[in-house]
Amino acid sequence: MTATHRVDAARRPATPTGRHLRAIALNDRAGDLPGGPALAVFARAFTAAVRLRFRPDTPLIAVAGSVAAAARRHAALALPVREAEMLIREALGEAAPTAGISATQAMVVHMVMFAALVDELALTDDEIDELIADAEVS
Amino acid sequence: MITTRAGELVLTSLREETRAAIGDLPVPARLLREVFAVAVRRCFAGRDPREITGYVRDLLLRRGARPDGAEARESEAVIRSVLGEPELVAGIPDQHRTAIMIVVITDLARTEATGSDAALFEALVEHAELRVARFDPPPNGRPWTRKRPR
Repeated sequence: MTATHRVDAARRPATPTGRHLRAIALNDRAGDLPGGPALAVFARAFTAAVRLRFRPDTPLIAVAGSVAAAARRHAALALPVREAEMLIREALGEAAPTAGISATQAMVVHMVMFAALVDELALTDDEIDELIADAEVS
Repeated sequence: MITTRAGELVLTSLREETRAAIGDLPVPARLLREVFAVAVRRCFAGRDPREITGYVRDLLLRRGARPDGAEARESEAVIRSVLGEPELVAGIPDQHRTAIMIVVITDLARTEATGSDAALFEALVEHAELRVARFDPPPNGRPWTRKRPR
């Protein structure tokens, strides 16, 4: 992603889930959390953000550093750090131990780490919109 | 030669592969953490931490445990905690950390040792006793060593 990255301005989050995730990433008022299968949007957006931020051979200390920083920044949300690192590594294609991670834990990881990673990447609002819109349709 | 009572209790725990001998005693627990740090650093220091994921998976499979769940995540976290990532073990109860340490130490001794387990356990405990005495003396200033009988 570069400063000249072009984004189709018409592509905005179109679902309540996507708009919720956008609000979290932009530190806006998010309202009630949508439920049900729509939460898969969180997982897809998280995977996209992970793959933008890290390469598959990224040193684990860098991954753990991002997770630790997110946990400190969003201390009230009790980010499960071990689960977060393993979900990131799985998104990068690694056979990481992710069995038994509850749906609630996974959702917290997807939301918090999406917001943290797009912040680390310094994405523009339009770029964040594009990531979320892609996650809504894929 | 093991020089402390804590060392003897740690050695018993390693031989029996349970934390029963150590229980909740703070001094043996501290010594066990040092034994664990010595064993892990001598096997994994300088290696890619992803090798630890593979090691833990193999370890749990050998023990007939699920290799991809919470036990795997917690075991990897406990190992990496002595390789410079102490924050990874937040939320893992002390007793469970101790149990993981004993399993890993005994497994590393079996897979890495060229001599007998017993001799390696003693060498690890001796090494850890020295490190604790050197780098982490007790708050009352007294040495960890037992009084010699008169």
